[in-house]
Order: sequence, then structure tokens, then C-alpha cells
Amino acid sequence: MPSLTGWPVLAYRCLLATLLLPAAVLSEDFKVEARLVWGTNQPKPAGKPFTALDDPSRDKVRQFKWTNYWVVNTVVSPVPHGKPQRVNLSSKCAIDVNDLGNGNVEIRLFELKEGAEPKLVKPVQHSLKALKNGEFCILAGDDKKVWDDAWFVILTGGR
Amino acid sequence: MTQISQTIMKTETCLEIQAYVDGELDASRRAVVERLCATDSEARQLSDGLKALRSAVRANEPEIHVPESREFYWSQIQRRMSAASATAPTTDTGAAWTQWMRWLVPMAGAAAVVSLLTLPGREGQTTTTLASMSPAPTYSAPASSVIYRSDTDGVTVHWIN
Amino acid sequence: MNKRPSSASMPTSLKREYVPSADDVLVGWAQQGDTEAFEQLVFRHRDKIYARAMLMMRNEEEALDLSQEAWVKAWQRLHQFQGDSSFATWMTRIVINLCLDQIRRQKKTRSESIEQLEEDAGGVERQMPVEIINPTEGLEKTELRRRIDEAMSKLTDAHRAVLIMHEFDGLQYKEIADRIGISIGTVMSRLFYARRRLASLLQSLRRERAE
Repeated sequence: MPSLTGWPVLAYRCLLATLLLPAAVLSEDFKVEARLVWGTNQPKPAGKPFTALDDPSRDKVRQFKWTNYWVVNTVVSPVPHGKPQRVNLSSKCAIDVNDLGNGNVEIRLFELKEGAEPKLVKPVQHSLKALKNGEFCILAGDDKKVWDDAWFVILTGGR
Repeated sequence: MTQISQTIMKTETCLEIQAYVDGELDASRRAVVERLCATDSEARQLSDGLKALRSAVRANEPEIHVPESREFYWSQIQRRMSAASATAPTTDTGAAWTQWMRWLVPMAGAAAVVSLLTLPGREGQTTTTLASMSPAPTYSAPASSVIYRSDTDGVTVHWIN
Repeated sequence: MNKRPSSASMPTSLKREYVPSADDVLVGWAQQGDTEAFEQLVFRHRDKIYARAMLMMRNEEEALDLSQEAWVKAWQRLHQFQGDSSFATWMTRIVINLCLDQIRRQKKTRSESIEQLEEDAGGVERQMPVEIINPTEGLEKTELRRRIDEAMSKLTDAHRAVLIMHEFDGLQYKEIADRIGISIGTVMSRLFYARRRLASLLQSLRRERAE
């Protein structure tokens, strides 16, 4: 097949193959890992299966003041296009991730309450490429029950 | 000056004596502490010392006055009242950002720079610490938040108010 | 029933009717939208509210900002004031909550004092001898107030907040715990530590003055 653009034939065929693939297929290969983390100066509570945040991740939050960052839960979320799937981080919060098709993904944080519909707390957008390159997208806030503590949802490209 | 009590007492005992002085104990615990203070000189000294300190502090609350004239102080409040009634009761990310700056920029006058929340690889960006941030455009959302980003660290934080 | 004067129609001399009116009367008028009545309340209680903010924040600019914000919130929520407490107490609670929110926001950075960390860790401090002095002995009232103010400025935010709420606002342990979002046990230990530290600071100030 002659090259129309001056590119090598193989490169042109690869480009065509890439453009013809549905976006959903591309994104579905990529997953987002979400870690619910508790920022506190308290030691790990007895009997709780929390783990300490790994050092590279701790480095990302080093500007914050807490001594300990306990990983409460880790979930992996697919990144579909158009129909996000909600994944529970705990009994009280959930996220879903959606490929917007414009290079960004939208991550939505929900508050869960028994007997009630999940309540959208915050949608944020982040570059899909950035997440694939290892960037961190973090949602955080004050722990409403403990004055000095905070919660973090750390989102990274799936491992 | 009366210097009272030099001993190492269990913290729990000290706290209970404090609670007794503050009137926070029920009748049974109150009786226990009263017996302790009657028989233990150090417990009694702690109790007396706490009572004296408590009375002194309560009777001598520092006198502080507003450092502005009546008219000026009221004009500031009036201005805020007008602004508050004029704006819709939606989240004020501007004000929230101002307060956030106080968290990360303790020194007055320090600038904060936050890059836009988009693709990375904006070559030449030299944002190196979370302290050197600027406000980023926030997306409309039920909750207000402040965003800051470090290109060097490859991290973006959305702090939800 | 007190008739709310219309400032536009009444002679200037009668506008002073605001001045002798009790707080509940002024509140009633203010609840109907009378800003002059509200201004009289502000004038009457501004020092107390500002002082509370200043004691908490130890920063004049912040205290002014938060005290003014408290008055704005009071104006917006005046319909919620039912007279269960005095107006001054109600206002104090508003400004305390604003200060706590502000302190909470400021505590995001690594600015905790060593004292706070030590106290939270329950380390050496727990084993130190207890020393509580009688600070009133031989001190003139003005000097004592000044020393207490100076000593309080040296406490951490967390300790000072608990001390202020307990000693000056008369809140009980549980009320403080609920307001701040900590356990009653933490309130007790912070209060005890604050008192001990205050006594120690007063002692130090006394020595410095004597030298």
C-alpha cells in the first residue's frame, strides 16, 4: 500500500488501527487505583487491618502535617467511556471514574448513607495521560469527627 | 508565693482531681476524691492549687478592646452584611481560597501559584513546592474545594471544604 | 410592648431610646430588620466578642476579621435566637466556632509545637511532677491580668482553646468535646496540661520580673 503522507507504510497502518479502535477499548485497559487513607497522629488502632502508606506516596503528601497515613482500603476502578461504575471505598464513600473522551477522566466522590441515594460530593477531572504517567490525583478533607485528622482518597494509575 | 506539690502522681488521678475541682464528677466519684484529698496531702495540695489557679484565671480575664472606632468597625460589618445579602448562598471558593492560603502560606505576603488542572508536561513550569501555588479554576460542584498542584511532584490535591 | 421607633420620624433626642434598652428588646427590634438596634448590640458587645477572638487567635487582623464575621452571621441567624441563653453567650458561641474553624484550617501545615506533640504522645510530660502555683499572691490585678494574657499567648492553639472555653465561657467538658470534636478525655488532659503550663509560665514571669 503506497504511503499517502510520506510516512512509512507500517507506521501508517498502525495509526489507522489506533484511530479505528473504539475509545472504550483503550480506556478499559487502564484502571485507576483508589486508596482511602487516614491522616492522623494517632497510632494504628488495635485490630484494624490498616497498612502504612508506602514511602513514595508519603513523599507526595509530605507537605501535610500528619505523622501517620494509614491506608484504610484500596480499590481498583475501571475507566470506561460513558458509563462509570461506582466502587465503594468504605461504607461511607465511593467513587466512579469516567473517561470523558477529551483526554481527561472525571472522578466523582460520593457520600454513602444507609437507606439513601449516594450523594455526589465532588467531581474532579484529571488528565488521563498524567495518571498513566504516574501522577497522583488526591481528594482530601477534614475528618468531621476528629478535629485534627483528615481523610485522603489517593488516585493513581492502576498497578 | 505558695509553691504547691512536688510529686509524681498518676495522670489519671490528677485528671480526676481536676474534674472534682471543675464539678464534673458524680456524687460517688466526688466522695472518693474528697476522701483522697482528706488523707493524701499531695492530692489536697493539687486540688487547692487547681482551685486557686481556676479562680485567678476566671477573675482576671484579659481586658481587650476593639482597636477601631465604633463607626469604622460598624461600617465594616455593614459592608459585609450587604455583601452577604447580595450574593447567593453558594460556595465561595474565593474566600475559601483566601483562608486556604493561610494554611500553606503562613508568612504574610507570600504568593501562591496553582497551575491549571490539565495535562502535564507543560514544559518550563517550575512549581516545586505545594507552598508556591496559585488558585486554579474550580469546577462547579456541590462542595467547594481548593486545588493546588505541584508539577515537580506530579501531584494535584483537591481539598474539599 | 416597646414600640420600635422610626428613626426617620422621631426627633434626634429620642433616638437614644436604643441606648437604655435591654438586649432582649434590641434583639426583638433587630429581628424585625432594625439595623440601628443591631448596631447598638454590636457597640454594646463588640469588645467581648473581639476579645474572645483575640484570645483564641492571638492575631489582631484575624481577630478583627473573625469578630466582624461573627456579627454578620449573627445578623443572618438572628431569627434563631430564642433567648435560651443571653445574647452575649449566643454571640460568644458564634465567634468561638468561627475561631475553631479557622484554627482547624491553619493546622494543616507542619506548625504543631513540640509541646503539643509531647502531650499527644503522652511521653515525658505525663511523668513530670505536678506544680501548680497560687498566682494571685502579691500581685496587683492589672499586673495579674497582663501576666495571664502573656502566659496564655504562649500556649498552643489547642490548649488555649480548651482553656478559654472552660474558664471564660463556662462550658463543661462535654460541651467543649462536642464543639471541638474530640473526646472528653482529651478535653481533660488538654485542660490539665494548659493549666499546668499556665502555672509554669506565670512562675517564670514572676522570676523574670524579680531578677
